[in-house]
Amino acid sequence: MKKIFRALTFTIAALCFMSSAYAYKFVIYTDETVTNKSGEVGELLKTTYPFNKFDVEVEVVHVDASALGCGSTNGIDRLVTCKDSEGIQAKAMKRGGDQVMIIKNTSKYGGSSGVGGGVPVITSSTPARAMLHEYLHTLGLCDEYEYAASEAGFYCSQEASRPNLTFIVPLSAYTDDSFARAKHSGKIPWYGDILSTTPITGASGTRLGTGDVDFKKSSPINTSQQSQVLGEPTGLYQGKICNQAVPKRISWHPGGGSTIMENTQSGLGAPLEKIVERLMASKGARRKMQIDEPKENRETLSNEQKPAGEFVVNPVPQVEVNDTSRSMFKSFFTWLNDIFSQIMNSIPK
Amino acid sequence: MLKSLYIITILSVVLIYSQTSFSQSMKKELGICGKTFNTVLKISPKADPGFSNSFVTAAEFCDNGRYEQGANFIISLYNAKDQLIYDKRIFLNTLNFQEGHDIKSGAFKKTRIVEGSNSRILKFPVSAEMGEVTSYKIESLEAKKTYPKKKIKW
Repeated sequence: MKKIFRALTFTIAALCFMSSAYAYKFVIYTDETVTNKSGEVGELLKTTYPFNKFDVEVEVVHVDASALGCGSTNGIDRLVTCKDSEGIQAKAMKRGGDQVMIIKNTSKYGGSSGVGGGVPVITSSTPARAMLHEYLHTLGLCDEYEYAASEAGFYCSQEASRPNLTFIVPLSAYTDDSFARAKHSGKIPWYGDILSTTPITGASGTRLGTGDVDFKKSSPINTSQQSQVLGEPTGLYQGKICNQAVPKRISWHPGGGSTIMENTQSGLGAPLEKIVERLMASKGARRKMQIDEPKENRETLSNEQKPAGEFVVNPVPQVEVNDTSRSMFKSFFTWLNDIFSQIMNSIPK
Repeated sequence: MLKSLYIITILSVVLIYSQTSFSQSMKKELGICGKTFNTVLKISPKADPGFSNSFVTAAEFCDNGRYEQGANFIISLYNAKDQLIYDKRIFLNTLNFQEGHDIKSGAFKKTRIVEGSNSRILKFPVSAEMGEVTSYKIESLEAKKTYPKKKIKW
């Protein structure tokens, strides 16, 4: 009896904490007519780990090209930017959006993407995975490819570390790994992810770094429901982003392979997956229950009834956005309330 | 003792997730939930950061993202009595990235990074106990600067 009671308590508590209180909503504005890049991006957000771990809702809004206000960047014809991202965000807020994305219908600029603070933009001829790369910039992640001297000069002069980048000048020699850890742990934002069994020094503890990033080794694209923890350990890997800065600045990343921050054809890799998962959670996105309903039941639902994680194309803007809890207790109390209302209504005055 | 703990656990979960008026008022008193105050935070190298397109909806918003990792701004809200009623740490990338792609290889090229105008959506819970939000203050952790308090333009 005691055991049943205990199990019941924990099950109820776990179910309640796992259940969604708030779907994180992406609103994609696009003027594309023939292509379906917005659909591809929505699908990526739904299927890519760790985004697929959260209650993520995607709404696609088709608008005229003039409403996007996108064009080429000063001096560089092939790079697209959108000037009224603030106005578009204001419209998205009325739809209950948390994050805006823009897809500009054009083949003129070829593969081009960008992000101004909070709004990532890609062209319809750019791979959908570039949108993930740009979105990760909005979370604070930095690039991992080698910047040209002009960009390196600007970017690498900044002191701030990023969730996937730190600048450490190594000492000429280290006595052992624990000495290196004591010396540099405070400067490694992902230090908590580095296992004690993963050294941050090589060559018998005398040289800093778990190793160099092997950019030929592409991190696999993960569409499963679990992190690739076993595949690649988080460590301290020397990168190349600031190699062309003058003077050269030594950069370090958490993963040992090419990630989406270096090449759009790569996945996030286990170290970035952990970091992104934490960042998404800290932004208020809630982890969803990992119990999927049968597909045939989901397809019969109308847009309003579809649970978070579905993506909806062009519904009517929401007059009032309801972010309230959708847990089983809410359903229970709503149900109870409905019954009482019906009983009360059925009693003649 | 253990049984009481179990009961407290169940009841607190029920309370947090339920929609009864009692639990709602409890949550609002705790400052977790409230009406939704929506706004766009805009930053620019030429001007002080500020809100635009602000509005409040009656829809309940429970703020699970009050302390964003890697936050570079602290936003404080004040009511008509000039009391601090809510604060939130958020991240907004101050840089603009414009990146070209080699579609075949997936590599990035011709990248341009500039410090430009940037913006993002923000949401805050405003409970009845807080009163009406009338002004806000923004502190930049990167620039180590607190900007003067501003009135909200509705």
